[in-house]
Amino acid sequence: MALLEDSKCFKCHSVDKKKDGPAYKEVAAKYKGKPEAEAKLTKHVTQPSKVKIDGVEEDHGAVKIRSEARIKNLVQWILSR
Amino acid sequence: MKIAWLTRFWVTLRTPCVKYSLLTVGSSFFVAGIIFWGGFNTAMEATNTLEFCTGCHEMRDTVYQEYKKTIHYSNRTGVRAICSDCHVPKDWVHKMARKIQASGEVWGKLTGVIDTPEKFEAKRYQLASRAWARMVTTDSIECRNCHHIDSMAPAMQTEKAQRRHAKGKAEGKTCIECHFGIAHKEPVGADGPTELKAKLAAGK
Repeated sequence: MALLEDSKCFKCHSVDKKKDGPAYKEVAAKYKGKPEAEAKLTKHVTQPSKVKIDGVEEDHGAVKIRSEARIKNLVQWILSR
Repeated sequence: MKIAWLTRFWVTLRTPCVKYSLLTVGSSFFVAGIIFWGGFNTAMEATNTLEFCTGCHEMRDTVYQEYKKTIHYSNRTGVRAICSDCHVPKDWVHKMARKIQASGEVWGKLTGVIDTPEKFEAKRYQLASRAWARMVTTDSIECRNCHHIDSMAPAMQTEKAQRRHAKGKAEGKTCIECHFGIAHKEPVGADGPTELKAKLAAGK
């Protein structure tokens, strides 16, 4: 949670409520049972990418740390919602 | 017996004062009024301080610790928004209404409804949704104590923020609908501020 807060993820994402980005519960549901989930999500939160919000392409931020353990913890936390 | 006493009291009240001049009586009431009003407002302000709000462990050990990590506590310009800035409206009528409402929290303190971290966590969504419901009803008056959309300089905002604010304004959204869970941990629960607003509008 602290890493999500520090990385300002909650500006667009919520645990279970509607914001501009999908709720973490939706993300967890989308990846449920998919073996590539952790790898895909890790890439999504560590490498800058583009996302569409209201039809407009925007930059998706990335976490600003390189600690693999903390990133893994963050990804697993999202997937366990 | 009781009626006789009341009658005597009423007659005394209705009898013109013969001992003191009108100036003395008037001045006395004027001074007493100032003391009463000053005392009342001083007491009100005392209950608006950070020290008062974090005086109990229920707030000090939970939401206060979360708030201390946010921009409202510490920031580049050194302007701090304390509990009352976000939880108590500034104008007198709304402030009084909030203070009366908050007296229920004193009862909560006495009965210990959130006196352990576990009890607090169990109630977190209920407490947050109450604050959200209040804020969607008052058009986030607490945010607008300091932030005014018409005073914002969009050019000084990021492109993302500019788009979001323009969209929010066009959709008639109020601050808390997007800016929730920013000072305290966001609780897991069925409805966020937008859903609560829709339910309140539908009278549910």
